[in-house]
Amino acid sequence: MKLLPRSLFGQMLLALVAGLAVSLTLTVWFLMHDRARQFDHFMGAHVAQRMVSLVAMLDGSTPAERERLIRIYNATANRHIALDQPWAAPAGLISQQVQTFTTTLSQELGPGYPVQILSLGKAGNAIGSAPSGNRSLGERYASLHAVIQVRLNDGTVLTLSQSFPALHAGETYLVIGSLILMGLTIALLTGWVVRRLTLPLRALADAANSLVLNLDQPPVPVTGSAEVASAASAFNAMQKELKKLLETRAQALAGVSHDLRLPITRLRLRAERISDPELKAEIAVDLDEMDAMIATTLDFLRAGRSSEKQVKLNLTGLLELVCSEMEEAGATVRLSGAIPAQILSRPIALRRCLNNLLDNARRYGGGQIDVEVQSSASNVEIRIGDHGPGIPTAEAERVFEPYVRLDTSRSRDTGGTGLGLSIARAIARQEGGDIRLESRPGGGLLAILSLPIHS
Amino acid sequence: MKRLLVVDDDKALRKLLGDYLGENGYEVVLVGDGEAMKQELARTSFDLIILDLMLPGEDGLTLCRDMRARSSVPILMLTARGDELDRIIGLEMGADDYLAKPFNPRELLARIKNILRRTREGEATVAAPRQLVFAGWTLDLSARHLVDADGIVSPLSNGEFKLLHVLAEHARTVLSRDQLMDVLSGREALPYDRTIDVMISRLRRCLRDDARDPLLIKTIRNEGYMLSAQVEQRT
Repeated sequence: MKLLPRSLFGQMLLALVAGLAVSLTLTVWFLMHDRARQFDHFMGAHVAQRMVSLVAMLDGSTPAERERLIRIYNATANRHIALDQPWAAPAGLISQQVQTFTTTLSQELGPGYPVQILSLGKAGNAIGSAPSGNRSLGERYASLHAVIQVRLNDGTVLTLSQSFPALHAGETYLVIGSLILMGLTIALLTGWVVRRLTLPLRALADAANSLVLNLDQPPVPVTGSAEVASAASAFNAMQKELKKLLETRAQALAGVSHDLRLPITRLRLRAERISDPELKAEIAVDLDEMDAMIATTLDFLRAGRSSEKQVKLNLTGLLELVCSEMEEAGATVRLSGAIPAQILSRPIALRRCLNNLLDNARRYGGGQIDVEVQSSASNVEIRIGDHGPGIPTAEAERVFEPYVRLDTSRSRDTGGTGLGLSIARAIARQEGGDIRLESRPGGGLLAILSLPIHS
Repeated sequence: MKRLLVVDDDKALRKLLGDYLGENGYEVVLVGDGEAMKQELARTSFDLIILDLMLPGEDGLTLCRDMRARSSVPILMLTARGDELDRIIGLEMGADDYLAKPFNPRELLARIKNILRRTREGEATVAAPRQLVFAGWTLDLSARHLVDADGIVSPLSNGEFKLLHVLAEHARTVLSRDQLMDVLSGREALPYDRTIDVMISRLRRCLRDDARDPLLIKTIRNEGYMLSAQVEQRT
């Protein structure tokens, strides 16, 4: 069963081509068989007519005339007449072909002339009783050799041995050739049509896969057969609804965050009037924390839908900048690898993305960060490794979800909001890349940001 | 005493701002929308307008642009938090500075002081430049990054941007380390651990300037640094 193709394209193509091959083969076989019967019939008629005129000529002639006529007749290479052969004993088994031939001859010659066929077959290999069914199509139309005996009115036995030229041998190959040509043409056409039918399905599957990465992707083209087109338009409608739902939720969250900013501003101004310096400082810390939560929530809602334009960006400069800012914050950063000269990207967004990743490495990774850049012609990977405890492989995807923090008791000390990775990934995906997390062989976490280069 | 006009639609915030700024030595007039602002401006003059972006009726950006067409009174825009584009749009509309809500009251004071000082020095112009161009490089003052002749963008840290900005504004003038330090720590209450020299060397790298024999940012021994190129201002 493994031999059967799994794709719809393969299955449809296989069914169509196999069906076609079987029906064509059967058709041609019937056709050839019919032609063979026709050929036998015409051969019989042809030979019989010749026999009739020969017999009529020889029967009415004097022995001297007969001798002259036979000499003339035998001058041609592929035929021979003899009058001195004895009437042969009939062969035991007579084939269908020989019988048909004999009947045709008897009918043409009339009842006065007994006739028998001694051999009928391929030239040089003539065996009278050779079953015709064993012969291939090609052999059937190769030159035939027949040996026929007729008893004349005066008792003389006329033995005619004659070869008939190959009439149809070439045509067989022509038939098979055109058959192959027809098969190929139809297979190609079928392949093209089936491909046209299945391509929109493939596009639909691709769109469904990439929807997770980008909800704003352009709608699937509504093309192809009616069924596929209706699936595509249903998919587009679903994407629209999903987007609307998410937007409504995001708007609600943004609205709350937005509205909270005014009371926080007011509280900050009110706090300025508190005379107790200790209380004033504590309130200021609380307000800063609230402010930070709102800021990152709004960042998260905005991340990945930035209206910032892509520009040619000096990636080396950006990486050095982000790394040096991390060093100011107390980390040790080692930057290595071949950095592409420039990429097409949004500088502010990408800076935030890298900053979030490096900041995670700094907070949870023990202060030593290794940034390694690997690039190909079309893609660049920025691998940010730390020396922290890492995270379990099973959690490597979950930490990208907003507000997910693996170690809630620690988060207060480390000061995370649980949005850093979500924001970073949303930005990476808007840039056409992605972020994945892996465990480092020597312990620690490896965050891999991959970006297309575009230029 | 400097006169400030606060335009904000939230009554409570308006009052709190009025009290706070009043306590800090300013004379403050409070209004709730663009219409009232125009009436106040027609009646009397102010040293600075603090303008909220989100206002009923005409919004802050429109008001800011209209005002820029008529007068050179400095404007401090209050915007939504952290959206870089708000900042860029605000600056393009002619605001002298912006501050995101929820802001720290002390930072508001620092910004007001800074704008008023610049106005006194005659630096705040009606059409503030948005780009400084020198030796094939463009310093984008809105996006705060550096663009080379091929259009490739190099991002700058806050400090680096400020440093290059002040060097370019005073091109062919030697600025002392103290003057540069003042620029770096004056406006924002962020700690600057890095020394001027470290930032200068990174700026030189960004500008592909040879540190041993710099052509653009020159070290003047015992005096400070100087941008030696001709700077063109573009709006």
